[in-house]
Amino acid sequence: MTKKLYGVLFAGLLLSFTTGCSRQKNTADSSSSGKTATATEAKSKLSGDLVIWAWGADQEAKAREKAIKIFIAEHPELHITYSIIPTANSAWDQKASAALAAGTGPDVIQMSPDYFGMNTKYYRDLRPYVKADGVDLNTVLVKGMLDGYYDTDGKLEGFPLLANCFCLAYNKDMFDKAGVPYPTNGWTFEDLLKWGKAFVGGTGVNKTYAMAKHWVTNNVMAYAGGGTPYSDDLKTSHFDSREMLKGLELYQKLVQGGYVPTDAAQETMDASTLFISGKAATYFIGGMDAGDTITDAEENGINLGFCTMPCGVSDGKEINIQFATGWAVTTTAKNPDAAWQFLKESAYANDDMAKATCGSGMTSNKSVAESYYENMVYGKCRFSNKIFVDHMGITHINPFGGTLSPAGDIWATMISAVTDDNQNAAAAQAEYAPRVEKEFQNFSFNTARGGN
Amino acid sequence: MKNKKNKLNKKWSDIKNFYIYISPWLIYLIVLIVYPMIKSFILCFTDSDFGGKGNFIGLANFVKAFQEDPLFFKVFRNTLWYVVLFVPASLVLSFFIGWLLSRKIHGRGFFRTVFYLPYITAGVAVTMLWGWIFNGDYGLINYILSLLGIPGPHWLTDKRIAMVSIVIMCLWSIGNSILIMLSGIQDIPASYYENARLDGASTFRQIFSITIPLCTPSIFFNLIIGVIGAFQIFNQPYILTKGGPVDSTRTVSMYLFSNAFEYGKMGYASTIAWCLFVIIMLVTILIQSSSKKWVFYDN
Repeated sequence: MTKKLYGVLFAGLLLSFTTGCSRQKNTADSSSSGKTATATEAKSKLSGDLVIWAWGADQEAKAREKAIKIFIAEHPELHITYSIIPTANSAWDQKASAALAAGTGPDVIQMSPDYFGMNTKYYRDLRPYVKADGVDLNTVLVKGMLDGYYDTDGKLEGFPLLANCFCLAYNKDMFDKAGVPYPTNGWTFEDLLKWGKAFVGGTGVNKTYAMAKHWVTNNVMAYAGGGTPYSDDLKTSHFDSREMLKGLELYQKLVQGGYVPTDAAQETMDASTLFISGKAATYFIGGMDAGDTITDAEENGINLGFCTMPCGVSDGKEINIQFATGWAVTTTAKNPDAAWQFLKESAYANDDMAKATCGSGMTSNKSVAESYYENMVYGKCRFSNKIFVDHMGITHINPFGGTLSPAGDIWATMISAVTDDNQNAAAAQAEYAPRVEKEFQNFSFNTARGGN
Repeated sequence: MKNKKNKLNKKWSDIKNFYIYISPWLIYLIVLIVYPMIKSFILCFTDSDFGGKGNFIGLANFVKAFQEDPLFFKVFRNTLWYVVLFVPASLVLSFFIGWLLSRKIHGRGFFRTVFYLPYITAGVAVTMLWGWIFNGDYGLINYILSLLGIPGPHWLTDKRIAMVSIVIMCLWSIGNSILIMLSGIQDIPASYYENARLDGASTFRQIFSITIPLCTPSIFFNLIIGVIGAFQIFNQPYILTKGGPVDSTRTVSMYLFSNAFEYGKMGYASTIAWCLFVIIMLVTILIQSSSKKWVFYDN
């Protein structure tokens, strides 16, 4: 009987090991004696444990880890645990949300302003902390990087870490060969329809395009007609507007005219590869991949030029999309004071931390962004990040993240209807715009109505 | 009396031992299958987000699914279309290839390996490769067609054939079904074929009168597994087409996934999951009850 019991226990243990989940974990008791004025102040007030969760992989995760190690070294009074949870296959969303709901989440959790309030009930309002510090955030944060962290009801649910926006890169050689003048600031997609024709040609593997279809293109086209996809307070969908119709029509012309590849074509050869292999004349280059793309393009002998993102057809406003990540303090945080200290130093109060993240995006730390980050230069063309710093203030937060991703999927279907299925743009708008309107009515920040 | 008591004790001991031996699997079943099923059923009646907590909303999710959400029926239609295309094709193809592999041919071992290999290759990598093969501009298929002077279709961007492309891709990896068919065919006693040959039956007649009828248990198994798997198709359309063009390849599993993990609508996602479960259950019961008429077992 005892042998049988041991056998069953062993089998049970084996079963529990095979169903364990994976998680990288870094735990550090800081031992460095490095101090800054901020750390000295904080040292007298802070103590205890601080648990930080973040997502990601590759460059971004490494950059963030470097920044956190600096914080750990400067705060020996805190016992800090930093965990990275992979983002692939929605692993982050599931684990983070389950932990938040169960109350077992960390003190500080990574988040993004384009969640649009998805997890807001789990985050503390940071306005009291900001008020207590008495710092004018406009003087310490890059313009445009804090706005997205405010809820529609005014709650400051997170604090910025870094962000990226875009500019247009173009292949000077292709323009010279086609005899087309280089694009200049203020260009629109209607301009692209005129000068882009010269780059459309070839068949099969030799096909060339005016523009590679970057993954941000769908977002950009939502503003291409001159309007916005929804109101700033997220209460009203503009998908049935003339401006959205204009954007849809432009997109249809671009894809069906061969200026831009179809989705299927772009799936099998990504946009940056298309550009750096000289098959697309232009490409939306983001702060997150500027260095790599420029290096690869120049290795292929491509001479690069740069200008700003396109402008809306009817309003002439530059269309630029911001992808940002930040931190939030959870409502279940056991050490909210230490958590807030971490958020502050990540955002603006620790220049060393800010510099550590500059490799993967623009830091929210204004002084570091306007000096160290801005002066980072890539390639023989000496491209600098100044263009991103100068234009961050006019960016739109990624319009189709988090709570608004159903609207984004419907927008993608509308695009597919007109570009793949050759449907009339007005008919497609008439069919799908009401669905977006319905989604807006159901969003938690717009209604207390039942159902998801 | 003592004997009776001993017998009773032994019986209880046997029962106890039985449950002890199956307890790991039973714990697994209860904790990882039954409990989540019950929990997800409860979620159907709530507006839960990722974290699984939400307010009770009655049948609102079902009302949304059946009356308000046009995509709900579309994804079920798409999935049914995939099942109707894929399952019969996979049965016919796996039977035919299994039959070929049962023949005495040179390199039989090699061919068996070749046909089974796609089944064990990494799904995501293979799917991405098929994306290249199907590419309308520079894919392999359209290139070969161009050599024959035939303009290739837009395999993945034409809503009329995008799902067909996915079926073709999935038919490439039916190695497991082939193996099951092969073992079923090999189980048929050779004496049946010998007698049939003596009676002058052609190969064609032997297949239809001997092989297929006696292979019906394997066909039945493949049919059930195929239908259950086909209704849950996810990887291939998710990677190849992301549900496009125009939602023509968006399947129930994809829609469920989007609602659960992208939109944070766990309650509605659970509703979709349970609707899918009911449909799979009904179809399986239908096939099961029909099996009495067409599945022949030796015993």
